[in-house]
Amino acid sequence: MKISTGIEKLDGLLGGGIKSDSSILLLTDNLVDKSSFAQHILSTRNLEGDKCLYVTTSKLPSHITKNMYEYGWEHKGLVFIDCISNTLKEKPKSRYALKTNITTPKAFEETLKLFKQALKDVKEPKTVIFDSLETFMGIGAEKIAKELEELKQLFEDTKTTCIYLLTDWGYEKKELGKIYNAMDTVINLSTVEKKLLWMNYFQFNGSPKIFFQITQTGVNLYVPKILITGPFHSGKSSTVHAISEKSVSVDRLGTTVSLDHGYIEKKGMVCDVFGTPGQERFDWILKILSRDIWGVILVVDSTRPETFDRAKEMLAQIKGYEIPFVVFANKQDLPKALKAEVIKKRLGLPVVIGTSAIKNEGLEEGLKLLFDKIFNI
Amino acid sequence: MVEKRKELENILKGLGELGDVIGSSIVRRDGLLIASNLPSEVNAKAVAAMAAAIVGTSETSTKELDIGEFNQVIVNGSNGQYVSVGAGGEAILICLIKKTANLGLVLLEMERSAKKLGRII
Repeated sequence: MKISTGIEKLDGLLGGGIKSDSSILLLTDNLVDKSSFAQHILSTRNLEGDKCLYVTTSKLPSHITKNMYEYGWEHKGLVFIDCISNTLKEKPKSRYALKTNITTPKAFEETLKLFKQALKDVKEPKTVIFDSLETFMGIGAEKIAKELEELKQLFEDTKTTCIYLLTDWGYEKKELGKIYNAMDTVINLSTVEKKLLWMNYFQFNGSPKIFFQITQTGVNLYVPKILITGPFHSGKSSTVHAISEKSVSVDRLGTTVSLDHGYIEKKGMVCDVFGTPGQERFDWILKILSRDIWGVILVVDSTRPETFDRAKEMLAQIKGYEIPFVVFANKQDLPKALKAEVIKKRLGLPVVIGTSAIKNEGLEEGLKLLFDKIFNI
Repeated sequence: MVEKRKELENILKGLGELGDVIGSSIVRRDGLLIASNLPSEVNAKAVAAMAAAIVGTSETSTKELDIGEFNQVIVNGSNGQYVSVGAGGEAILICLIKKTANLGLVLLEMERSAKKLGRII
């Protein structure tokens, strides 16, 4: 059975979600906040009725619950297998607390003992976060892999889905391979830097990289920059404002003379949007604003077909044909507005969505389409 | 990658140590914010977008008017001012400074920091 992670695109990559009662590895670099990523998944499972367990080898349980609380992530009845409190000379609250010091060679074995006991005690179905494996890598990947392999049967018997976290501190490929082999699914979380912009992404089985950001609303897909352009008076600024959480415009006498800027954070998407002026005398600004854009929203006034040529010319100016773009056929609320299908034919462009910026209609749908195009799914 | 980020933060920290600097930020030429220690009530992302447009526009007009190399933009308000300079081909450095600031000193420090920034990128 496939179960949801709460991250729609990740579910999509995995063919509908993670496999229940299986072992999943989140292999990360040291820049990704892997614990928060996993906690987002855990809270989704919690909301869907799973019992949740958390094996912690480096963070105090109080830190973990505080983090989840701050993100607003549900964690009702969370059971800790607390392997760190005693080492840090804190009094453990959980009944599953490791007595030995976490840095000793026996710690792994003892941790598993506690873990197995908890699996038997807690009702099913359940989801576990094992945070994290690198604590034990000192005893060798082979030893770890062998134990994890053996756990698989217990997971099936106790209806347990286990998410292991492992930060790759430059382990040998051979060593990592051994851990891989003990898993059913391996998801990579990593970071790339593009001209000083650090971007986290997840990837599964050689899929395209899906960029994300962990913000106040959890794990969101991340597109650094989208440009909103189109002819004079087509409703670009209104679109930027309607679509954004926070926005500003530089305008004079009701027309944009420099730019609009907005920040989107909704429906699992995060993005900066830049709106351009529409008048020809400001065309040189297009060049400045269209640097490094990931996608374009071309806004046209559905009541003024005479502006469509200008719209296409603007798209060409910013080299929009080479990157993902969608057309917003705006002002659908007006009686004279042409239908989206008619405009699609007139423009000869593939994706045209009917929108009304003033009534906030069609905007989210269009944005979602653009995100899908950007991530090529 | 972690070190690079530290270096950027150090640049902002260094500028902050000048008494006249209220806050500063590093912005990409495309208008995206990279790092900032501007006061928290400022919408730093929007300022970043505007600064990129201002610097881009200023550079273009400098060329158009044929007045040589573009150096910096100084925006003068009644209660304060801010300076934007280019830092290599990919970044812009912004400083929000006091109205009474020693502008010469700030410009000198910014020039140094911008060079450092250019090298990091």
